[in-house]
Amino acid sequence: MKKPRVLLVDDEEAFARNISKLLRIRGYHVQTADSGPRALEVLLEEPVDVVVIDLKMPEMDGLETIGKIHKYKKRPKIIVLTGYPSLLTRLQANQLGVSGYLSKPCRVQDVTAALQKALSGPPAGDA
Amino acid sequence: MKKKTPVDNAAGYHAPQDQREKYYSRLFRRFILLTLACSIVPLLAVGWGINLHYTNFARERMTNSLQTQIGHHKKIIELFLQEHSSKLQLIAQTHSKEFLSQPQNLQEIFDMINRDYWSIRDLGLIDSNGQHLAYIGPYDLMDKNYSKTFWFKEVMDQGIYISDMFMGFRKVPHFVIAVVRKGSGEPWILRATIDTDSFRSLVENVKIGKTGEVYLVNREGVFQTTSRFGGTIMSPSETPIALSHDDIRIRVEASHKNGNNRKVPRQIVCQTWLKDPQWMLVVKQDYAEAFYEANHANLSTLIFLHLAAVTILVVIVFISRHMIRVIQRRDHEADHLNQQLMQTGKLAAIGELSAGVAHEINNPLAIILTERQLLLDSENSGGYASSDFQDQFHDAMEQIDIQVQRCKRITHNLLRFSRRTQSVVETVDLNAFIQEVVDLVEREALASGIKFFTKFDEALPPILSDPSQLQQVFLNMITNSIDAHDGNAYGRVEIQTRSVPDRSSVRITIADSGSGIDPKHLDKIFDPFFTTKPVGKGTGLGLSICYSIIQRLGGEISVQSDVGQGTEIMMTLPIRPPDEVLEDLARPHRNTGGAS
Repeated sequence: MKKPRVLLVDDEEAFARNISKLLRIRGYHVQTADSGPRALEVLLEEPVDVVVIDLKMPEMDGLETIGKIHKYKKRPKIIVLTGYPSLLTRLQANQLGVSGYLSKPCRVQDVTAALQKALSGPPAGDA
Repeated sequence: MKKKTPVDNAAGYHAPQDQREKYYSRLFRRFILLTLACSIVPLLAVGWGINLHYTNFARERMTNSLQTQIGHHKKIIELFLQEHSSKLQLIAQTHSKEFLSQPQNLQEIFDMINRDYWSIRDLGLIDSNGQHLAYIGPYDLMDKNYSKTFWFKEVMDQGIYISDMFMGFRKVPHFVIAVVRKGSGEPWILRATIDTDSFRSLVENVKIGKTGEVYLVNREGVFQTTSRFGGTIMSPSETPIALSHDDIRIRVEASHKNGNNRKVPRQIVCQTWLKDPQWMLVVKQDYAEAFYEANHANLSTLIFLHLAAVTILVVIVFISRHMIRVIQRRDHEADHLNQQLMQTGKLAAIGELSAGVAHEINNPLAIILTERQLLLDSENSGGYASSDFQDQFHDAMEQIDIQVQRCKRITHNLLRFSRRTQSVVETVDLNAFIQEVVDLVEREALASGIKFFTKFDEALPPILSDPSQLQQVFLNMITNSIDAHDGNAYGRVEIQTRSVPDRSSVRITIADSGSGIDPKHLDKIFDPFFTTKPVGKGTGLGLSICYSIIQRLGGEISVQSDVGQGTEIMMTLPIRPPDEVLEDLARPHRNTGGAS
């Protein structure tokens, strides 16, 4: 079976490094991007199944990035992983059709569970 | 467009107490002056005007009535004299000398004249030589010769003559009316002596008040009747004799001393000339009595007017006092409210900051958690001995330490902030202090694309101030400068500290590259509740509270802004605030920073 391709978007470098390491061990193909624009570039170059994205980032925040990702032809699933959870961003994220909303700090099991759920769900385009 | 707002708050939220008192007394004086100008001045002006008008009117009426009276009296006297002249003429024309020289005939005529009222004293028939032909009267004058008397010559010349008062042969004051009959023969004279008492009573018995007097004087100024106060008949009077005139003249004689050293008060004098003889009829009355009624009415009006004015004044003073008291109470309430607002703003700032800090801690915690997981994974895959595990172990431990330190810094900042909610005056190193505030907000700002640049003056002296209030100000100002970039993808905030050349104060400048402030809003940005943020986004209290705090700390604050370019806020703080500022800060009821 082909490894699920995950794009991790987070400006917190240590966190991004650790999570990608943990996910790779668990059989995911992981790429990282430290900002929204950078993530959009990666998506242009390579196919990605799931985007795990932080909300509060310099340059372009998570919700805005998600909005832009939706304009791509082949839309990946999206999971929000934020250190600033709030009801408002949760509702906004749901409206944008994200597959999961996780808040930091969280266990790696929570992340993999969310990834599984996202991958097994219907394609993002139908959401 | 550049606009500078030197902030000189007219309302003076926290003006010192003595300044307030001065303001209140100034306000009080202004109230009184204004109401005086609007009520008492017009009242008195109108009152006095009407009074003056009425007085003149009353005087005119009084004078007119006096004129009418004296005119009437003059006519009576003239009629009396004319009547007697006519009677004598009639008798002389209708009777012969022979008839009249019979004493019984003359007596009959004498009685006839005196039948209605006693008016002539005696009656005599005198021939052209001045010798009595017949005489009826109480005196023995038959042998007197009148050819040398002044009246004899006059009557022989003029045909009829009324004399002035004279003593004559009988040595009592009297006057005569004489007519001459010039016929074919020798001319003869019919002479009557007017009864002095009846004439005097005719003239004098006009009672004009208590002080009024009526008298006659001849052309030489000699009394022809006795005046009530001036002098007796035949004595010289002090009345100035004017040229004879037909009309009635009125003048006011000032108070003076008369010949008997008696004080004569101010008098109103009315005079007119009789036609024949040329006597002047004089009516005098004390001015005070003549105008008593008018003056009395005047006085009552004026008393009433001034009483009204005094009443209004008293009422104005009371009302103004009351209003000042109301204003004082309102100001007091406003102060109280302002302090409550500051407290509210403070609490809001704490709440916002706490939420930010709580979120901030999530990131390091997330990293710590992933480090733990990495260690567990490593341990599962190879055991403690493997070099992979050793590497991971050291990396993880390093990261855990870094992240825990990060958490510590965040929580310490929070603790420091909450400790500073108790207002104390201490020395503050502004550079380090501002850096702390920047640290608190930097990450959040970075998320909005805003970078901080600090340019600290290394030689900046520490200042004596209240750190908790300063923190509130800086936090507010810096948050505002971040919010000013709403809608911009990138931005910068420059914070600069430097000491002012005279070394007694320091200046902090916070310049942002945000959207700037509309010039029409520039004057209002320090007003409470003024905000341009959408409803629910801002209370409009932040800057007004900052303004109050800076002012209370003895500093100044000014704003300079260009729309589309950015805003620069400049704060000046004294290195050592004046003693009264320190005392004010130390006072518990002023201590709005005190957490309850």
